Amino acid sequence: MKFKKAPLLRYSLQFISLVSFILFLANLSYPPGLGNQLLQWFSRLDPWLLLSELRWQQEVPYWVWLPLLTLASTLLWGRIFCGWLCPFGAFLALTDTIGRAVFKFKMLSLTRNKVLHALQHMQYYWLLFLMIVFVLGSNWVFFLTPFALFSHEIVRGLQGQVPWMLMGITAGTLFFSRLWCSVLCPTGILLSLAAKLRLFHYRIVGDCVQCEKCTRACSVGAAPAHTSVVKEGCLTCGNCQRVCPTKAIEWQRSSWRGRDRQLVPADDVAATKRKESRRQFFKAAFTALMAAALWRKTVWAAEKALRPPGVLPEPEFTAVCNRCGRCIQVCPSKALSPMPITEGLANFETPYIIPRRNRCDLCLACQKVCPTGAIAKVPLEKVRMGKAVIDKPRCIAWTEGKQCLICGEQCPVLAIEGDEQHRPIVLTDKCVGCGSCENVCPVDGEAAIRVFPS
Amino acid sequence: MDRRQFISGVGYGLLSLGLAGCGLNLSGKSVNPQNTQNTPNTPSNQAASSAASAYNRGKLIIAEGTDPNSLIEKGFAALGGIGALVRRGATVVLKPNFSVARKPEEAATTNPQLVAAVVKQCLAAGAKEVKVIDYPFQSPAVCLTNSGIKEAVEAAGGKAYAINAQSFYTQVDTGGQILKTALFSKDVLNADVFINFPILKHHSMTKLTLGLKNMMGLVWDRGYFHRTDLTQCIAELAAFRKPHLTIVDATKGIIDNGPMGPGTIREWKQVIFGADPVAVDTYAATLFGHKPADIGYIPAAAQLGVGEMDLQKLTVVKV
Ligand code: SF4
Repeated sequence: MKFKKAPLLRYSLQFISLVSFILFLANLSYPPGLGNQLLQWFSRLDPWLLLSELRWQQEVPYWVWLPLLTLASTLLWGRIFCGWLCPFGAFLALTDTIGRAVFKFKMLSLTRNKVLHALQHMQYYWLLFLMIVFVLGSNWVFFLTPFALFSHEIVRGLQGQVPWMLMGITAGTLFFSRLWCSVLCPTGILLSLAAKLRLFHYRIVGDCVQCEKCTRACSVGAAPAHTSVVKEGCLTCGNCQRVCPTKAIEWQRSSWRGRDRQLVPADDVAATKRKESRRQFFKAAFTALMAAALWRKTVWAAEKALRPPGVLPEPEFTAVCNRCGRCIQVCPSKALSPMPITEGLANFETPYIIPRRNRCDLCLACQKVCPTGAIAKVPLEKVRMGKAVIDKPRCIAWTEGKQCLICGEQCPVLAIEGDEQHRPIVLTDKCVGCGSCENVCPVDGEAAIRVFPS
Repeated sequence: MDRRQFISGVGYGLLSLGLAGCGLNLSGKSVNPQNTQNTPNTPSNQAASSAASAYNRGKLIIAEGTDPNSLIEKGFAALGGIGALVRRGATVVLKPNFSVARKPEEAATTNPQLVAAVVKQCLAAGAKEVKVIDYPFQSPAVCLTNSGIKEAVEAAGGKAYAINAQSFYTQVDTGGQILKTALFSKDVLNADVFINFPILKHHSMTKLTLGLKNMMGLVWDRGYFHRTDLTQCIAELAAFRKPHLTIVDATKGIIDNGPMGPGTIREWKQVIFGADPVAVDTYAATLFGHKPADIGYIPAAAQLGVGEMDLQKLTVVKV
C-alpha cells in the first residue's frame, strides 16, 4: 500500500508544480495578482536566493524560512525538493521518462549510467567554481538555478524567442537522464552537499543479487548497488526500491557511522581514498584558480544599459537579479527584453529597455514581480532610469518650426516643456528616463530626443 | 431588410426630410435644419454620407449635474431618445479618451461611469454589440485598467479594448489636401453607430483636446499629423468621417499639463451632446474659456464644412 501511495503523491506534486509554474508565469500581466504572489513564494524556496540576499543586501530577508524549509527537508530526506517539488525537476523527469520510453536499447542505458557516473564527481568542483565566482562578486550563477532558468526559458518561448538553453538541456536529458539535476544545477549540487548529512535514505538491507536494475532505473546515478546506500544525489524517488527483484532496498534512518561501504573491501577503499584525496586537492586548486582568473571577465559589462524603474545600482543589479525574466513577461508595454549573451555573461538575461522600440509606462509592475529585489520597490517620484537629451539639429520643432512637441505631449512626468515657439526643452530634474519621448519622436530613424542611462 | 440597408435607409430618409445635413456646408451657410442642403461636391462626401446622424444637427444638449447615469439619460432624452440613433441589432462604437494611464479622479481620461452609462443605454436600445476603443499612448493594459474604463464597460456589458496594432486599421482615401490617405479604424468603418466621447482637457500643442482632436485616436500613423500640419490634418480627418454623435465629458478635466497630466483639475459638471462635431467643440471651447477661433482645428474644420462654429445659429438646450 505504502509503495503505491508515495509515487502517486510525488507525481501529483510534480504535476501541480510544473503546470502551475508555467500557468502563473504565462499569466503574469498588469496588474500582477495572486499568481505572482505564489510564484514569489515558490522561487524563494531556492537557497541560492538566500545566499544572494545575504551576500548583496547583507540582511536576512523576511522570507528566510522558505529556503530554510528546503534545507531542513534536505537534511531529513535528502534532495526531496528536487525530486518532488521543483518544477524544472518535474519537467526533466518527464523528459527523462519519455527519453527512456523512446530509446529503449540497452546500449543507451549503459552509456547513460557510464556518463552519469563519470561526470558525477565533477559536481563539487563546479560548485566550488560557482561559489568563488559568486563570492568574488559576479552573480551570473543565478541564470542556471532551476526556478530562474526554467522561468527565463519559458518567458523566452512566450516572447517568441528561441529558448536555446531549455532545448539543449532537454536534448541532454533525453540521452543522459537527469545529468543536469545531478551535476550542473547549482541548487541541486548545493542540496547534494547538505544531503550528505541526511537522516533518512534508501539502503540495501536484504539480499542484493547484483542485478544492477536499480542502477539502470536511477535517473541521477545515485543507486545503492556497490555502495549499499544511495548516494547524496538521490532524489528520493524510490525507483530503485520499486525495481529491486529481491526487495532488498529499504527506506531507513541513517546510522551516522561507517558501515556504508560494506560492499567493497575496506583496504581497497582506503587506498583509493588516499590517491583520490591528492588528486582532489589538485583539482580543487585548479578550479579555484580558474574561477579567480575568470571572474573579472564574467563581471565585464558591455555598455551601460537602460534598466527597469527602481533597479539597484548597476553592479548590484546584475549581482542580485536572478534572470527569471518575470519582469519581462509582466511588462505591459513590452519595454523590457533580456540581454543577449553577447553582452557578457554578467549581463546575460538581465532586463533592459530599448526605448526606440518600446517605452516604459512606469506602471511599476516589474517591481511587484521581481522575487529578488533587484528591481527595488522604489516609488515613482524616486525613479531615475536615465536622462533625455534633445538632439536639436534633428528635431523638427527646432529646425523646421513644426508644431510637433509630441515628446512633451506624451511625457508622463511633465519633464518636457515647449518654449514660446513650442520647441521642446527637457527639465532634467524631472526626467525619469522612461523613454516615452524617444519612443514617440516622429523623426525617421534615430529619434531626435534620446534617453541615456544614468 | 438587412442592417446596412436599414441604416442607410434611415440616413437617406432623414436627409430627404432635411433633418440631417452632411457633406460640405460652406462656412457662413446656416445649418438651420430647414436650410440644410446636401451638396455632394467634396471628395470626402462619399464617406461622410455614411455618417449622417439621426439627431438634429442644429441642437446642442447640455446636461448638468454630477450623477453619471442621470446625466446620460437626460442628455439622450433631450436629443430625442437613444432609439432614434441605436436600432435593434446595431453595432455601436464608442471612442472615449483613455489614451493615458491616469485614474478617473485625475481627470485626464473620459469618466468611466459616463462611458458605462452610454453602453447601458445602447444595449437597452437593442444594440447587438458595444465596442469601446482607443489607441492609447501608453500600454493598453495599463490605460484600460488605470482609467477604470475596462472594468466599468465590462460591468455594463460592453467590450473595451485598445486598437494598438496595425491589424485594427485599414487604408482609406481621406481625400484631404494633406491627409490624402490614412490607416483608419476598421471598427469605426464597420460600425452602424459611431459615438465620439472625448473629455474636455488642456492640450499643450492644440490648447484643448476635444471631439475633433479625439478622432486622432482612430488613425494608425499619428506621427504624420505632427510632421505635416497638425490642425489641418485634424480638420481633414473630421471631414472624412463624422461621428453620429459627439458627447463631451465636461464634468471635470485638467486645465494645464495636458494631454498627459497630472494637472490642475477644474469642474464644469456638464456633459455636452451634439450631432455636429464642430458645434460641440465650439461650445466646449467657450466653456473652457477659449475663443473657438483660437483652437486651430475648429475653424479649420468649419472651413471644410464639417460643421457650424457660430453658436448663434444653434439651439443650446440645458437639461
Ligand atoms: S529583475 Fe527581478 S524579475 Fe527581472 S529577471 Fe531579474 S530577478 Fe527576475
